[in-house]
Amino acid sequence: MMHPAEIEFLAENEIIQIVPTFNHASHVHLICGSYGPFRAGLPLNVPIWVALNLRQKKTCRILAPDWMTVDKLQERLEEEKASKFFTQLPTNYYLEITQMLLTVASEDIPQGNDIKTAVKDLWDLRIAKLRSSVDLFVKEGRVQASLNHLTPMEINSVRPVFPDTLDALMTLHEHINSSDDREDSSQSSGATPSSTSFSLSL
Amino acid sequence: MYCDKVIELLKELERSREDTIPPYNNDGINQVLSEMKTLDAEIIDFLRKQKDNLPLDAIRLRRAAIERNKRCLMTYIWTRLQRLKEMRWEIGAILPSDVRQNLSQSEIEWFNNYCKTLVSYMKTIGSDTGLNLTQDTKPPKSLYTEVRSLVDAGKLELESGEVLILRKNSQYMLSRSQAEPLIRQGILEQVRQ
Amino acid sequence: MNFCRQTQSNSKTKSFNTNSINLKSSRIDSVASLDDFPFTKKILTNYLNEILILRCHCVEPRRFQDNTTNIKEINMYRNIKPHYFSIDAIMAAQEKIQCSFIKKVEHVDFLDSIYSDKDEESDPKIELPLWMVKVFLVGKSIQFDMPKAYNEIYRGVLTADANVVDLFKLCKHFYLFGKFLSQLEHREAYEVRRTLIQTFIDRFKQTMDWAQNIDDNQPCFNRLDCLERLIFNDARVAQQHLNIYLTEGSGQMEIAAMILNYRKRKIHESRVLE
Repeated sequence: MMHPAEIEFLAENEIIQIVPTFNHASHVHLICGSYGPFRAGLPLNVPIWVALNLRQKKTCRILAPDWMTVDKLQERLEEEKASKFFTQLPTNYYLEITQMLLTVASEDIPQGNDIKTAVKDLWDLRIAKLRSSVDLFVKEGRVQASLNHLTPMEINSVRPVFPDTLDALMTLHEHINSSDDREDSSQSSGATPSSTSFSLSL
Repeated sequence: MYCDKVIELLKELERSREDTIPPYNNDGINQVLSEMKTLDAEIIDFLRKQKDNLPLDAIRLRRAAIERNKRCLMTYIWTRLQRLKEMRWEIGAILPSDVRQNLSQSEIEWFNNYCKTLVSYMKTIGSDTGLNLTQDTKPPKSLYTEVRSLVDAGKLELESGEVLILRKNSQYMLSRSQAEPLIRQGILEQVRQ
Repeated sequence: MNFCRQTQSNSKTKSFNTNSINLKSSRIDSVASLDDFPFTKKILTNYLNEILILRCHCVEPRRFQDNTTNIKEINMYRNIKPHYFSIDAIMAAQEKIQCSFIKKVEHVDFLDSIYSDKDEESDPKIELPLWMVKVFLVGKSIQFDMPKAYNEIYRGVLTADANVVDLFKLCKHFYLFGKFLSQLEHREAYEVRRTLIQTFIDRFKQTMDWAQNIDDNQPCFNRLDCLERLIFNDARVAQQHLNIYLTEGSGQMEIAAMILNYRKRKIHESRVLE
């Protein structure tokens, strides 16, 4: 199981646009790529973690991603409601990105509160869908399912439970005569008793 | 009935919370061991006395009881070791005194060896200084963090060589790596932003 | 001392070989204390060997779950499947079954009394733990009825609506004990197993719902059997992490839960003393 903070860490690698307020002519070379040059007033792409750090130092303005508007999110929500399956979202980390941007750069995002509500609605809808699929999966005793377009955070919400549940079910399903552990297997191997099986103790 | 004693031992473990270790029950273990010994002697006795017409059920039962006693004893030790191991990661190398006094001699030995092995393994990661695996179990957000001291903890030597005196309710700016273990031990608390 | 490791071809039991030393002979010559016992020593050395690849799993335990024995063993501690060292499995095999002897078993002290109480005509009855019943079944000396929780009446109740039953009260280790029972030779074994699976499936949604709604669910929790409790706890912890993340964000370092509980206990103890 992953901690939500770890998934957020992955989300921080997503690319976002910022408008810097400083000048830095050369590229900055990072393990995850090279970014720059930074020119005051000109937008450029950087990973979210860079954007957040710069924003905290008040050296840039973050541009909200395209999908992060109330209208676009409402559209997604309707689409999600209409579809039986999971719809593909513009990013795998919609919840985390919203959370991070609204915490650090809420002034840069118009209608922050409405966006937050819309994202939460989307999340709730998808999680409810996911839970009922998991429930159906267990109920019908299926062995295979394919769920496309789930995001890591969503998968993580069933990750601790799902494998355990399947393990438990498998334990219950195991063939009636199979033995559950060593102690018992040594018992069942004694099913054909003869005095020779005890000769070891002599 | 056979194995009742060893089940008592396991119940002792079950009753205790998962993040504690109850006192090592040496007496209980010795009683179980002597039960095993008696059972074994009885089996041998049967086999010596009666060449034919062995009381198979009685022998099988004793054998099963010995196996079960063994399994339960090992489970007792194993479960305790698992808890001890978790403590190393949760709390660090220094155990609270009342945990320590609940351990047997071999458990203390094991714990010390575990710490040593852990440290020497961590030294081998990376090029020179190694990597402390117990640190940053969650992704860090910043290099420095503001903390508040919850107790009069006394002197703390910083990585820079400076010495800081931690007083109750005072706030400090510390490097995350230095603050984390102290926060985990409950000496400091991170100031919420 | 005759302790030695037994290599088994059975792949299922193989994973236990490194940490359990099979007692090939049941002979124990000298017994002082466990510290002198080779299996303690061996376990300890094994741990030293095993140790450290492991806590790389502080990042994500399951990612490291593969077929190598050692790593599998690490995750065993909180594994849901019954294994050699699982206390739940041991306790489930300790549950009592009412049974009657067909043949007289001699040389077992605690059985003598049941023969003396009654005349030889009616089969003497006694309650024995499951692992003993298993032994006597090998020699066909015993027969037993399914315990109350698994008899026809309760199977009916569970089939009708499994969600209303207080499983913990009915039988602490309902699923595991039931599974072990259904592995014994009994005419109802198949029915019992089917009921177990169906009950688990029927109750699954309820268990999940309880776990994921963070209210005080103690009364609900109390009605779950030990296996369900494990799942419940896992789900609960994950849900709490998520909720904290959503409300407080990440990056906060916290006091170790162990220390926190330890302090609470101390405070509680000092209050009790006063």
